[in-house]
Amino acid sequence: MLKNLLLIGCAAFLLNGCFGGEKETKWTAFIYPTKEDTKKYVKSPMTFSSLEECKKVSILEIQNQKLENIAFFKCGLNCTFHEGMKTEVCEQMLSSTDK
Amino acid sequence: MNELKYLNVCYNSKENDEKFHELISTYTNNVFKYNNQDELIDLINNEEIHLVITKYNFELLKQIRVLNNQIQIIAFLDKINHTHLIESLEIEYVKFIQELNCVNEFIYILKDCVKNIDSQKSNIRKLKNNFIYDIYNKTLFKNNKIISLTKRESLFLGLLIKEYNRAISYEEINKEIWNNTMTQDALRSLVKEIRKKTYKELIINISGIGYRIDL
Repeated sequence: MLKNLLLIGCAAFLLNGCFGGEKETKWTAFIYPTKEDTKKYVKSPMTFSSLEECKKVSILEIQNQKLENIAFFKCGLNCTFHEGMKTEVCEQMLSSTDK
Repeated sequence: MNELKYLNVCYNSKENDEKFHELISTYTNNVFKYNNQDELIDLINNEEIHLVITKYNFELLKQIRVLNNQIQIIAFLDKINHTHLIESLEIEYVKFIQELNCVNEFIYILKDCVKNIDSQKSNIRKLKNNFIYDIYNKTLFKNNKIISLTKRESLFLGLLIKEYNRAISYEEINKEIWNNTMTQDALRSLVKEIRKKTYKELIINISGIGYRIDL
């Protein structure tokens, strides 16, 4: 009985690994030091597993740099370098000014 | 640059400065400025506008397309995302640019637009099995999802699709994609990878000559 349960458990674990895994989400923070110049931004060297974490780190960084009144940030989902356009393109982009 | 001379271009004077006006006026004598959407609509209705340069706004672009189905659009925005690229498939003739002040890139785009005006062919190529290729933005889609391509895959597929009516010789591929360092194995592997990401019949081998695309 115990052996059967163990076998079922292993099979379920393996199947979940093969078919049930969700797509990994990676958020990248882009901090714009001035609201007027949207061409200049600093990209976070690491990615975040959630949008909340990306927002939190971006806000903290802006506060650390004492840029609260002039800076804003964007969080990009699963950003990759687009060879055709020669720029980084994200699946989705949320700005700190978005509601 | 004579090909740009007779181009009727319009842009929003609030979105671009005098420096931009000077730049664009160097290449064409027919530059129209507008201050708001109503003025742009008037211009499109009353002048034979070939090219609109505007900040990306999906609703505005849709409106432009309803009025004229051939106008080329250079849309700039600070961060392009998948939604923008997917939306532009619906509108057609939209070339995205992140920085208008990169003169060389801007002129290259203008030339591309002129070529397209002459050929009257859409920048959107519908391939088989629900694949779509956007020539302007060098992007491959399947079922409204972007297919990621490596640098060489992107260059090779772009070249084949741009020159869809002829075979591209091995010599040309060697020069354009590998800067004269191509090996047969590398080319075979590149074709295999693109076929894997798309479908086998997309790229046809012309024995002893090179490759061509099956559109």
